Amino acid sequence: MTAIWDYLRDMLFEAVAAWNEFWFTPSAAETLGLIRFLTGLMLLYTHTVWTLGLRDFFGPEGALSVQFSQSYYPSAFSWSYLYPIDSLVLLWVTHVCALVVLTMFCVGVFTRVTSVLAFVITVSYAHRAGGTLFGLDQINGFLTFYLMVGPSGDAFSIDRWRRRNKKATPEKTVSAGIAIRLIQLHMCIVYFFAATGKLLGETWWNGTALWGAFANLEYQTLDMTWLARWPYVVNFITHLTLGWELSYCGLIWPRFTRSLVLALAIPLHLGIAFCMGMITFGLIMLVGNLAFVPPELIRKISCWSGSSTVPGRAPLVRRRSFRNRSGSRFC
Amino acid sequence: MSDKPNPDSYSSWKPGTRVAASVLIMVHLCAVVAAPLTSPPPASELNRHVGQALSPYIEAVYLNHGYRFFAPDPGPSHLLRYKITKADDSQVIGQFPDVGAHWPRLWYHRHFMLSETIANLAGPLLEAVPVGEMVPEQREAFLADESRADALLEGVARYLLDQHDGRIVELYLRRHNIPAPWDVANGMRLDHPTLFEERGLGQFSRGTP
Repeated sequence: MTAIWDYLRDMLFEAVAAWNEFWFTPSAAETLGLIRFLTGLMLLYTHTVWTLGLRDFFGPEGALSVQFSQSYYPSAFSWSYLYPIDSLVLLWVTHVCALVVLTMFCVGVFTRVTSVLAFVITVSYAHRAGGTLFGLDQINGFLTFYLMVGPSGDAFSIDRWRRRNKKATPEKTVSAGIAIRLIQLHMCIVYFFAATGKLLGETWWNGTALWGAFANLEYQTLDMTWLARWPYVVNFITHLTLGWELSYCGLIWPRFTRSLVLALAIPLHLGIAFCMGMITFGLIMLVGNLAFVPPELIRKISCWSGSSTVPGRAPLVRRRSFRNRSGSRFC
Repeated sequence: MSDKPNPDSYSSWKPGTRVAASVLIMVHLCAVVAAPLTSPPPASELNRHVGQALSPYIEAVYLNHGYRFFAPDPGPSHLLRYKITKADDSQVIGQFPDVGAHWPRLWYHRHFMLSETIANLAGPLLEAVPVGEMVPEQREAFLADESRADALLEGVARYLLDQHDGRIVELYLRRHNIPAPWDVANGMRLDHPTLFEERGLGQFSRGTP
């Protein structure tokens, strides 16, 4: 009896230790910083495009009335600072302010504040623009949320550059680790439901689903209908896509399979981007996948490529001697 | 992050802080999972109750997504065709999304999603049984959808009339079916007229609700 009790107690302790290890191990900020920069670019682009429809969609006489937006998201907790705006001038002022904030967030200025504001802006536009949204907006929303949780301005940012003389490299922090873990798990959940939803469809089983995507004229940007004569190829791509999505949440964790899963993510999402005209969606999914790239690797790549976590300047590393005799870069 | 738990690696946060953070993380993850488990339907009673309990948080942080991209099957797309009569009785006929008029691609996609939303809201209404024959729950859902569809169609009609300085606009929902691969292999174009089905959505004019 004691042996069983000891076994269960050890298991519990190990589970708690594994939980703590998973969530509370400090992480360097490079991964989070890179995701912030790329998500910031996407947010800036997404909201800049809204400029085209500011009057026609959100204006007092626009296609998307506030009445419709609030009925589309009927919960009392669906909020947007755009709901009460009924003046076109005020709409333009807030929109320009939003673009300025998103630019600051992208380049990492006052990131602790601008990350929160970026989230407020993202959710406000999403709730106001109900009925015109798609996967891009969903991924934008949760990435911005997690970038607000972690110190996303600690790398690849102006904030980092301004603090360059105080600390040579960004400190590892627990909150950076939590933010990255949340992005990783959220990506797994996205792929899990995307895959299990497909299992209900006949075409994903009979291997013709991708034909439905290639032969959809409204999505098409690259004509892939020549595949009509190659049914086995369509079958293979369909099964590969579903198999990849189904296995993602399991195979992304072991190091052995992670690189293969990430390598397959690139053609899959670039295929969506360039064949089906959803460049923004394909790219933001790849940005989400970056959460599985370790910060150390991003630091190395940024050093090789001549950039650094400090824009425009190589990171300063404290060495014993004042001179780097080999002449190599201080990375 | 090593393979074996090492207490030294996560000891920078006090145990109390870790417990509080763990509770927040678990609640958040429950919300992230509950959203796609409850929507789109069907959903179990348990999932619906959990989803309802967490709905304030789910809605507030914009987690209310199903993530069923191209599921269960990639289906036909929907377009909105319009016929606008101007003050001088000349007519403008068009549709959206329109790849020639809506640029950049994201702007095109916004219009595409708008026409899909119209199809999702108004399409089932066109085929619904008479309101009198519905059970109360059905009737409630029908009236809510009808109200949403009306608000959206009126907004879109207003937008089109403004854009083209029109007097009257007629809206039609077009369903663009996917051709079979063997038909395409035999030379059928993706915009072949037999692939389209069309239904009227209504006529709208300035100043009339």
